[in-house]
Amino acid sequence: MSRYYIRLIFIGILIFLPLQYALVGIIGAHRSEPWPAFVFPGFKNVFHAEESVTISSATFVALDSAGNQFELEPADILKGIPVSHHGAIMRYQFKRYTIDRDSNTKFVSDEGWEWFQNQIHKNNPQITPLKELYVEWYDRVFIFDEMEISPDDSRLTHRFEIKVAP
Amino acid sequence: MISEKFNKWIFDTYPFQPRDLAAYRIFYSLFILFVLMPGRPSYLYYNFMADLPSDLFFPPYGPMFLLSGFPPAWFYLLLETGIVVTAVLLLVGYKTRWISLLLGILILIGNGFSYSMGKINHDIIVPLIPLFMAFSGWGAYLSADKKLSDPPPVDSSWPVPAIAIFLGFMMFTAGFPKILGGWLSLESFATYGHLINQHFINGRTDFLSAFFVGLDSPVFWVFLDYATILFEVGFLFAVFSFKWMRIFCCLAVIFHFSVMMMLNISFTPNLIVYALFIFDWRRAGVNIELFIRKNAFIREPRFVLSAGSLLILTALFFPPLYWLNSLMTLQSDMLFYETVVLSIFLILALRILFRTLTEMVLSSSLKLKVKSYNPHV
Repeated sequence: MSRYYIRLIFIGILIFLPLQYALVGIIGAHRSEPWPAFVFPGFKNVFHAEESVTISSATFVALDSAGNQFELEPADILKGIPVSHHGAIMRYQFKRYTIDRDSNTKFVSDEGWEWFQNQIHKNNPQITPLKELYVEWYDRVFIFDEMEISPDDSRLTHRFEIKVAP
Repeated sequence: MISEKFNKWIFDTYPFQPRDLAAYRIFYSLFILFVLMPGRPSYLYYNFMADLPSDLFFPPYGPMFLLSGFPPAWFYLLLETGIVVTAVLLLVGYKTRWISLLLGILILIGNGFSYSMGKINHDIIVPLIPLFMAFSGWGAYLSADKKLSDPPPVDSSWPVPAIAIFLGFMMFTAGFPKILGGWLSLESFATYGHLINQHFINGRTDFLSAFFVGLDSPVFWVFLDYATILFEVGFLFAVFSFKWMRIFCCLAVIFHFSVMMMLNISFTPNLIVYALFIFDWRRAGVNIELFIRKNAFIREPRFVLSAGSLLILTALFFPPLYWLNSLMTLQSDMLFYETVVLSIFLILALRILFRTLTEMVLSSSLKLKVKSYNPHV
């Protein structure tokens, strides 16, 4: 390859990288980070030592046909998927975007419901058969004092049902 | 003037010869096969998607957005086996240009599906390397291509500065949002905040995590916030000098090791690109060539075929580093073998950093002496 074309490639790279970064920022603010993108994670959040820390976390609530209620951690449902994916799956698929706002329900296909049933049955065989499934989101407050952290409060912020699309 | 500097940066800053790149090619292939381990957690690991329903398919904007669900199980088997086979072919340098492109594309496809659930791992530099290096001379030496008289163009080390600018820019994108987010405020303890989050919420309590949680030293935490930003933003400027790039890549290994000790997060895939700038590939290339000359049987097609097949089987069924995980189970989602790999890199990086800094100090003091020397006095 001639030096002329190599120079052009570099000029292209130098223009492309900031442009794609700007695009990542715009799309990321709108939905989620696009892929592929040439960025590393920013971890830009900061934590103030005098504040309490509020962490949003989810719990699945399963009901069997006898009406018994079971609380399950996302890790129970998502077992088999690498743990590093769990937080993002919960955030993107069980919190925003994919919940039907009118009915406050996440509709899934028959295949999807079967998968939930299998996952629950595999890890919690006592829940058989699965009749209803809910997701509850909590804001859990932790107090930070003298370099120690302790749970203070827990507040239900959102509850919705997962069911097969009609 | 600017054009001259620009040319100098592209063509002269990174003095890689084809044999040096060939040595790196061998390292890259081995890293893919035995550290990133196709088919095993946690990196080039795709077969876990075989049973997932399309309801969980949540692709980011990009090419994956055109698809509607996960492929069937056989696809992942084919993909992971394809990555292993192409990595072995890259190792022996067979049809290097096409194999490099194929390997990069296969990794991109696998990662594309893996990142279609919400989580994106920022390891795009791993497939980017062979996609760029396909146009370098990394298949011209220590390769089957050379023996078959099918060498790719030789005088093309420009992909190295191209990879450097991608890495430098990506590092910058890690540092810049921190400045906007308030990391530079003396009242914020951003690193400490992330530690608290990882330790208490995500259960990352391994290694020195608990020690650092109890470390009541605002000066230390503010220093870490500033040092992180300085390091990440500074990377962008390091790309203009090979020596500084080497120093920053060594610092990156130390940085990732510290992050692993404190936050229990490893960035193992990044090591593959740091290695390009840290290690002395010229010496490695010479040594490998001497070794091959001394052991002529290595060049025999029969040996290449049987060793290649053995490598494929080993990488697919008995990846040697994977058994290390059985020695220790960690509380966090890290795997023990990553700790071992990062520790080895740390030792090597510290050694090379010390040597590079010593050389820099010695050469600058020598320059000072030459400058102040006046033969007429």
